[in-house]
Amino acid sequence: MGNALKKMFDRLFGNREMRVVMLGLDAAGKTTILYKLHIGEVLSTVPTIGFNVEKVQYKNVVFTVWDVGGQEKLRPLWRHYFNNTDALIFVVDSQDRDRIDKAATEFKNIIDDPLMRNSAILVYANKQDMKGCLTTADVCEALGLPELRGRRWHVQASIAIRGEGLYEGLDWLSNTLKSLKRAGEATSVG
Amino acid sequence: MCLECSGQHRGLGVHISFVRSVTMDAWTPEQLKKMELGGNGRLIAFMKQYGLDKGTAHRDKYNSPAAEYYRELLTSECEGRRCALTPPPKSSSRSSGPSRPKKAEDDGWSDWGAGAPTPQGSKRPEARGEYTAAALEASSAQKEAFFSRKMEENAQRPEGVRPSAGGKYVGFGSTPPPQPRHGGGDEVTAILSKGWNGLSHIAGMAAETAQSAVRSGAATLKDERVAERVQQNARLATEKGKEIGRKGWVGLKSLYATVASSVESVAKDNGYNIDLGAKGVSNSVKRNAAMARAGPAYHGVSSVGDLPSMETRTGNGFSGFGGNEGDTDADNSWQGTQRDGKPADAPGGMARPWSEPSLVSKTKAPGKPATKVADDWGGWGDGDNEDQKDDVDDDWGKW
Repeated sequence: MGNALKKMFDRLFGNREMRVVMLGLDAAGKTTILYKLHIGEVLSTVPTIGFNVEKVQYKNVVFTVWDVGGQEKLRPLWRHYFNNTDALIFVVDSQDRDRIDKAATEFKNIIDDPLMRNSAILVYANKQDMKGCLTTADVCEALGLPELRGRRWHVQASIAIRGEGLYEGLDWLSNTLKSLKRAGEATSVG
Repeated sequence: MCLECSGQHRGLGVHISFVRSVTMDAWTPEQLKKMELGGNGRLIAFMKQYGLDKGTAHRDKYNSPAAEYYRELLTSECEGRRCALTPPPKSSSRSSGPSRPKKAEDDGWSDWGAGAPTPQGSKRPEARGEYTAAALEASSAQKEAFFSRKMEENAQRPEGVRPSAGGKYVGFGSTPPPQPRHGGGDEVTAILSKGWNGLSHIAGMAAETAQSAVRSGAATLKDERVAERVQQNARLATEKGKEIGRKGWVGLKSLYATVASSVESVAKDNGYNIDLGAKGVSNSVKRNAAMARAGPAYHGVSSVGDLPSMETRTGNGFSGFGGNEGDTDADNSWQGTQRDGKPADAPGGMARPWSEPSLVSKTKAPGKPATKVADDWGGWGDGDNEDQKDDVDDDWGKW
């Protein structure tokens, strides 16, 4: 009994783990974000074939982030990562105006999946340093976020290679997941 | 092209170099036509006219006006129209190089604060992904400082201006940014009030809880003098706690009241205002004591009976909780606002319809009667107490 309580108190003040899947079209910056968050440095990345997974500590939350390749033929594989996932990080290349509609379609497919219905949604409007890029509000609208009902979403401007905006996004994610769990709401399915 | 090179090309941005995989991507008819019309041979020959041969750094080469013209030329040929751009003047000297002075490496490839930007075009080992283990370790050690600096910088930027023009990296969504919360004593009492049987070692634990509450409180005060006195009090309380614990639940609460009131008074002496709810607890302790005389030891049920008074107490203790709404209501109203008015460019300026729902509002919510609380807490010790864990977890983090 005493031991169990001790363990419980450790958990009270210890770290909490969350499973996050990071998706988006190819060349959006998913792998760059992952490694910027993980080691604080930008590695020159190569197109991801398969996935990368790293643990990212933010305050007292440990995010296990799955970064899955975003190329056309890899997208049907995304759903295999949906099981038991607390949150989705969707990365958009704000510069890529031509493919924003494609991004929106893929985004819809993800969040409409039954396994993702409880997950929190963080969107990084990445590459904000580029000239003529979409603003955060543009990205928000293009993805149809304002029309979402009953979902927790947040869109955050970012520049992955400079680390701008990344922690702001994680801040929202950790607060949201904590408050959801506190309210006794499930954040993952499966 | 190899995977490594395609990584480099993607780094230029899709408007400069758009990489497609033969096996992993789907190709549109336009893309296929461009490949047919263009191709390596033609590009190499074209670039040579501008003095950009195969040895030129890819960043310089693909950012040059010549490359821009070539892109436009190919697109127009593909679409069967005339090229809108005029060809840039040809030069055979290599020194003309890139005529657009790129913002060098300030694209972030070397944005590490301390390190001066390296001259453009130079091949930094880092830029090619050749890191030593030590360099990576150093980098991840610096990470926290780096990101907290970034967040501070970002917080100071003006909203409503594009980030590329020095504006803030805004973020917005279905929930407003969390309101800064003060105090935290209410959570402690809430937990304590949620019914467990009086056991001496629980009292020890509770005292520990109080102590760490005090410690985090002290940390925020940033006044060593206060912190010292506060900690003394807490130590005293811990010792007392074990003894008092034998007296059961009432003892536990009076212990908390003692700790809280001493912390409050110390803080007050030093000009800080902390409300740990000592008054409320000690009042309820008195009442409990009166009730306890009528019956034997105090069990979980009794703490539930005590809940209303706790609620009032916390409610009064927090002045900033004006428009507190239930969780779901608040959610709807927020989303409603968004439907009517599309999110503004600087949504940080939007009205936030409510402050973060507190524990108070949750316990008050209809459909969750007081006795239910007792049921929820029946599972203590089985490790099945996610709710409570999060309460504390969250709020201690915020101190």
